Amino acid sequence: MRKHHISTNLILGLTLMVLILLAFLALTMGRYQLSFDDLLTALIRSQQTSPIITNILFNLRLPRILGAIIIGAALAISGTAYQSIFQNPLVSPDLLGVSNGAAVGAATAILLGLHPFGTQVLAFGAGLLAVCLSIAIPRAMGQSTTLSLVLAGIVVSGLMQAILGLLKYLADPDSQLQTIVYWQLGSLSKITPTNLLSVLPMLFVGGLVLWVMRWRLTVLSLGDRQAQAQGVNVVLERRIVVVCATFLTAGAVCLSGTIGWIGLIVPHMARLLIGPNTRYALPLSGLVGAIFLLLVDTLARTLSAGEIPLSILTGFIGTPIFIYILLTRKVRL
Amino acid sequence: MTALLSTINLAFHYPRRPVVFNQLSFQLNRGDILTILGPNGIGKSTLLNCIVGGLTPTAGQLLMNNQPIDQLTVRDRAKMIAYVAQQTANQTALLVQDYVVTGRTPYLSFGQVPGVEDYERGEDALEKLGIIALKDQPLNTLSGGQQQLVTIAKALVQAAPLIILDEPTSALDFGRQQLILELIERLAADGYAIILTSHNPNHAFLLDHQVGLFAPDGHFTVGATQTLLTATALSQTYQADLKLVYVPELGRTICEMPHRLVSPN
Repeated sequence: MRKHHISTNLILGLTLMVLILLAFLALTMGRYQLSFDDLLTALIRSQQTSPIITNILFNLRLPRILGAIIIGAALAISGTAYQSIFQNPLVSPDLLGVSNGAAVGAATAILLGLHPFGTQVLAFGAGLLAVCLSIAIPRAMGQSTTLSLVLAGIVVSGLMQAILGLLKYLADPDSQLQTIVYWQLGSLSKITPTNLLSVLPMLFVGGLVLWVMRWRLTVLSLGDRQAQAQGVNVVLERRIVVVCATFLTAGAVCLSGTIGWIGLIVPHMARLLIGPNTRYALPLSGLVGAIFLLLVDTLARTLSAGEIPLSILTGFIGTPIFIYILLTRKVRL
Repeated sequence: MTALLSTINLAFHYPRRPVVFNQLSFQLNRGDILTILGPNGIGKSTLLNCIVGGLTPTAGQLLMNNQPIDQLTVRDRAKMIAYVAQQTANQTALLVQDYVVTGRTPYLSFGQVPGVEDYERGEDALEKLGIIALKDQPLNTLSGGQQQLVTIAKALVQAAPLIILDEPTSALDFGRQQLILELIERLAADGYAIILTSHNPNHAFLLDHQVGLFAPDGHFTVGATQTLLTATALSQTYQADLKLVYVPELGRTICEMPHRLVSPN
């Protein structure tokens, strides 16, 4: 056991180091390229740095990089949690309709002109409603297969997209529409320290509870019967997990809009690296998700003069990875 | 002395379906082994499921140390009863050692992860079953029989006084079947109470403790193997012409099918 424990901790530690390195690297990159020297000077002897550099670093890049790290981790952790409790390798916040549900909630809030807290409440409420619908449809059909849940999720996602379409149709084309469309494709460009802080409690609570439950998730991933025989209150604990995972997804959607693929493929990447024990796979998926979105967002803001919407990039990167996972892990439908 | 487990006039039927069993009563003490025999689909697994808590009996009482089982929390129940379900292919890629340690979950608090001591208990159980070599392998790469042994190791780690095994020998070769039956005897000698189902009446003769016999009409009788398992009772149970033969080389009775399946005329 000890050998096993050391190697898993080593993987977690190395991944954390890679994340920190990449975060510093990302700070130097952008339209205004900085050297590591500039960065060090700005971080250590800030009074010797020009106010322009300080502004770029601390007001533009730092919140955005922190946002990428937090959102990537949140989406990946919520994906790992959903995949564990549904014993289903094909579910994710996107496929269960949670992301689009939360998007509907947030878009409604934009239309109503609600303040950030109202946006969070609506995003969470609609996301939770979507996942409950996705769970209820196969139950009503008396089905419990992997495929039936995935199909239900696709249906619910479709419904949420239709509602989102309706909201766009109703939105004021001069102001609200642009916001909704841009944000539907996912972007971190509007992240400020203020809105980051306002969503942080929601993300923190969701993430913390799931981390506390990291071993329970392993037991829950064995199926209801086995979990119950092991003294797990399956119904209650699964509800807690759904609520917390939805907190994470809704919080992420409030900050950045819907960013696809991370919640689906990163949990697989984490399990490929460290094995299916959620005790390790959950924190690792958080770290890998953070690295993934940090890389994608850095590409998004440096590849061209304009900003490339994140969902476009995660789609291009995510699809081949997902196909590779389907082929190598022999996922059963 | 209070029985570890008593069932009093237990009955079960699925909603709007005929009765599976009723008026089912028996008592089990520490050190007892109850082998449940009966034809396919008669309700053996249903009975086990009622005891474990997967199904709720429609009538009657289930007492554990004189306390109604449904008053126990799921967690306390898991400390009292370990359940080895019928063999189904396990899809989890969890390592054998991690899987076995899930048996310690009833003893862990909500946010606790299993520690060194839990893993040591897991290794002890794997060693007891002679499969310690498998501990670093993903469960879904093992054969059905190996998986079954791992699941039994998990039940041992759960350290519950009552161990329930649903057809524990069904996926095992002769040698492993013997290993499991020996283990069951050893566990009973150590003070565990054991309930198992089997398709093979010879397992009941080998274990030679108590037998629960499901008649084709769902009637359930419990008694000592020697008195209950007669050729007539077994033939009736399985709706087949079965013979009991005393084999001096074995020093016990065995149950066999007649030597010709189709009579020559």
